[in-house]
Amino acid sequence: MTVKLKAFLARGPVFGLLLCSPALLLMAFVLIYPLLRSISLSFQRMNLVYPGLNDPFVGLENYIRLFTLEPYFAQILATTALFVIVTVLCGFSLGFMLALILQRVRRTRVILQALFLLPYVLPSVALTLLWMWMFNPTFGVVNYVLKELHLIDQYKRWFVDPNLALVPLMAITVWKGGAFNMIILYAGLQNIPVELYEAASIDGGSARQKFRYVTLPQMRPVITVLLLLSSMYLMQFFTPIWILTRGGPGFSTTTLSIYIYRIAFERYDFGLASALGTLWFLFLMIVTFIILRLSRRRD
Amino acid sequence: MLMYPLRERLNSALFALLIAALLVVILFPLFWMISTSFKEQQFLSALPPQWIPNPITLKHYDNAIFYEMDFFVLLKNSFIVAVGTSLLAIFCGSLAAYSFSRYIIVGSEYLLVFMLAGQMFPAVMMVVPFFVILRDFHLLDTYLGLIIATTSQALPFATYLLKGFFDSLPSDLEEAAMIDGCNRLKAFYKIALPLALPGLISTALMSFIVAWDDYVFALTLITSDARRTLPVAMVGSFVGEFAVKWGEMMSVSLLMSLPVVILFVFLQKYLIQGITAGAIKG
Repeated sequence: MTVKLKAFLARGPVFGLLLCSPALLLMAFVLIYPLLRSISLSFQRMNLVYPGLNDPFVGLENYIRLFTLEPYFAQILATTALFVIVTVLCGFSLGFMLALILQRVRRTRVILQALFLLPYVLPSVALTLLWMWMFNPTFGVVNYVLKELHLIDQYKRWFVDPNLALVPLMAITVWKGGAFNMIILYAGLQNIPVELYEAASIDGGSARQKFRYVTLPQMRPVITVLLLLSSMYLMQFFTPIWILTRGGPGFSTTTLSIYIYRIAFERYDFGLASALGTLWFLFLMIVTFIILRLSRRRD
Repeated sequence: MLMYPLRERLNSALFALLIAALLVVILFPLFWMISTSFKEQQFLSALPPQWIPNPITLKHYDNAIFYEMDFFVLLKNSFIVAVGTSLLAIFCGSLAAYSFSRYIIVGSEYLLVFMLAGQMFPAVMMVVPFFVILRDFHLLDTYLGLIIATTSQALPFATYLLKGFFDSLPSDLEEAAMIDGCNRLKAFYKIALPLALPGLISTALMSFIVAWDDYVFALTLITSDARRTLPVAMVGSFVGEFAVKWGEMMSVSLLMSLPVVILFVFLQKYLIQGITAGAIKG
């Protein structure tokens, strides 16, 4: 016992904890404390515009208001779902194509990877302003090219038309996020044992059959985790939407993250925003749990 | 015999064509940013568009830097926040990473997952409680408040990357030093830290990129013009104007992207590791 204890202390667990305490304290301050604060705010009436009505405990009032007094809530969930599904699937397809290309090329791999990655690493605000210019209704290059290709018959007012406003937002999201999918999928492709492909070749499998019966089944766990992860990332996608449309016209491009921001910093209704944030947090916890279970199984 | 190579050549020609098409779609917007920023004002609204600027002009850069915005003040603010974030992230991150790598055996997996979980939570969701908390601590509208907020995005992957670097260093040298009378702390900062210097530098630069990109925290947690950062000011001074100054807007966008491009050229490998780390382990 004492020998074991001595060996344990010799490894220095106390010193170890001391070393990582700054990081853990900081994370507690920026992660756990805000989450607790968010939960406690969700049970308060806290509005910066009407401080006189603030109440430190109002029970479930905010949650009830969210589901009964917010007429756009259902529409916003539907918009978020549409935005997430389309961008996840398109980004995934683009990323998969790029990853397969990277796997096939040899000499140009590093340079191609760098070029494909550029939209992902460049600052969001700079790229958003760039797309704002490209989607300009009168002088924008997108309208010009689409018209020349006869894909549209007249110039579109992309951000003004409620039926169209999601399209440029989805385009920029897929363009910027596709390379993220590429990186993850390419890493996954590298982990498929070469023997499986060799065996398939000996059995006379064509390239398409190899993809169908070797690549896809081997990639399934990576693909599942990636799809879940990017859905969560895209649910919170904020900067381009906020800059380009602020959720408008009307509520046509208001996703969950835009909605939460509008409640908090346009209406200053921190209680309501925190109620929504807390529900979102619970949802994320569940998805995270699923992801951890899935990656545990893969290991 | 003759058919086979022909078919193969056709295949690889199609493949090259596909790559070229994708490159055009992916890189055209960036080309357009550069092209717009150097184009004479009267050609900005030309239809069909003038693809390559002729003549090349630097007027938009001149206007944007010296007349449109307090460019150098904004640049300074963005630098303070990004450098502050990098320093805080590598200080806390290297200590934690070393500890995870060498000392904490029981539960280190969970601590690391806990740290990486920080990246999963939407900035928008965190910004509401951050606003209230920083207000309580009188850190609203200060560099320090914003630096702490952006560090929450940078620290998790910084720790993860640095742990990888320390794991790849053999611990023999530190053990030898401790036998020679170094204490643990000295073994860390005299032996391990200098050996991990390349890792420290690349992690710091990646944290810099993350903080440089931040918009939502700076938008919300900074309220005075004196401390505003470049991205927020760019949106503020160009978006929603009656006549948007596209040339100026693109030149500032390009200037803002340049540091990232330069860092990216040197850091591609680590950046990819960072992206994968954040995703797979998170």
